[in-house]
Amino acid sequence: MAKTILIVDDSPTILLSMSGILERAGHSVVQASSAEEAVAKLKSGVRPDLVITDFHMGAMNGIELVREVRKMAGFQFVPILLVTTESQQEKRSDAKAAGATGWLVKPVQSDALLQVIKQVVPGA
Amino acid sequence: MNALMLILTSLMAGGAIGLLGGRFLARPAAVLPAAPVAVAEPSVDSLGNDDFHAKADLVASELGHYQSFLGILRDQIANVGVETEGAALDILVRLAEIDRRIQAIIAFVEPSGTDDDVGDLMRRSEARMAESRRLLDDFRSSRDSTACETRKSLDEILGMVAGLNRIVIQVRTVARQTSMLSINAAIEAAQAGENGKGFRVVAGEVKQLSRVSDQAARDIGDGISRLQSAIRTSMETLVLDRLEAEKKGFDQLVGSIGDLTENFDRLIGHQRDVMGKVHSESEMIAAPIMQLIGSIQFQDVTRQQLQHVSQSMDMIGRHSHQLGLNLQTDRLDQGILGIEAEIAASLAGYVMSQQRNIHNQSIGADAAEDKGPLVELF
Repeated sequence: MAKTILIVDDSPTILLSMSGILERAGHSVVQASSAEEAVAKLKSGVRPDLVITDFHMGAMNGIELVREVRKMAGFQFVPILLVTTESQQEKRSDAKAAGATGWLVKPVQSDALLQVIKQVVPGA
Repeated sequence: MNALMLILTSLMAGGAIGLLGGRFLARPAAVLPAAPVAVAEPSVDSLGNDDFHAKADLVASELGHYQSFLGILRDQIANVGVETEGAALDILVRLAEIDRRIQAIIAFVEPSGTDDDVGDLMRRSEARMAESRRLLDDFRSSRDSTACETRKSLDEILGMVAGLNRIVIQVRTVARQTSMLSINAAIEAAQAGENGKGFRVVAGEVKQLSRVSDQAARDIGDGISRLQSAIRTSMETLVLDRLEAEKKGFDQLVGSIGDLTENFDRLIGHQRDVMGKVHSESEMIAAPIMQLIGSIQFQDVTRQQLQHVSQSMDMIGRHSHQLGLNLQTDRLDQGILGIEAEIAASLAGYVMSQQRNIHNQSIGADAAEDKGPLVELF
């Protein structure tokens, strides 16, 4: 079933690649090229079923975005996946503590990404 | 580079080792030149010692050039990032377009598609052909039944005519018996003499009547035979021959349609095979395209690795520049960390386990890395 997915990444390559995979699977994609833009879109009424965010971005990183989103009303239980090149276990623990749903290491193949989405988004 | 090495070697031989030990000759920091610095030609005093400060200026100048050269390399690397990102985006756009076209092909040949698709067209054509074959079979059965009934009717007519012939034979038998009776009556009348005179006249009339009756019956029999012949001829010519000709023509038509149907079935079968092949091949092409779209993410991975290399080059440039400046003072550690500390800081700045492993392998350290799974759900 088609879901709305917010992708947050400062890399145009990642935004386009992820969007291609997700739209091909029938999902609707909203893009943001920074954590700040993502927060602004959520505040403006975007209601995603899933948020996929990079870790290393501009002023606000992915874990800070998770914390920010979890503070927003109505987003406490929206699944948030961190998709990043970062591999340190310490960062994963930080993400988990911040309320992230999962951690995927780039590059992420299409079948692996779609499989994870099915696991974390009910009805996807 | 060779000149720099020569100078450094000379410095160390001439007392720079003392510099590294913190016993560098005092030199006012206020006169530190900005890199690159003006280079003074080294001179030799009367005892044969190098002019240390002149050499230090030369080294500082060379180190200053390192910074600008590393800046050039950093810009080159940055350009690689820009170029590869542009190429990756172009590849993604083209892959997306290829995928869109393949999906259109798959939808077109989809076996369970809409009324407009080729599969449905084939199914409808097959149904039409089957209906045509059924109608032809029904029509042939109907024509065979009609021919059979016509032949039966003809046989009935001929049977009825044959029945008339039997009546004619009976009439002629009666006529012959009447003739015999008249002969006997004439004999009896002759034996009766004058008394039988009237009876003889009656016997003569009866004989004449029987002869006329027989002739009439014979004429009727001849007429019936001609009628039988005429009926048989006309019916066989007009009905049976025509039915036979129609049947023959119809059989040829059925045969032709049968061949056509067979060829059409073969064509549809071939078409279905082609469609199935196109469908399966398109699916096989589409799957790796999605994988390619995912794999293009390597560009972002590479970009981050290059970014870190670029940052390290900046560090080396700053470090070498500051080292050159410090060489001209008595504060060798002023404004910089030791290079080992910089290398350690670089290690801490990596984000990928692959970077850390390469780093550790390069410096001969253990490649201990707490690399977690590629996918982890909390």
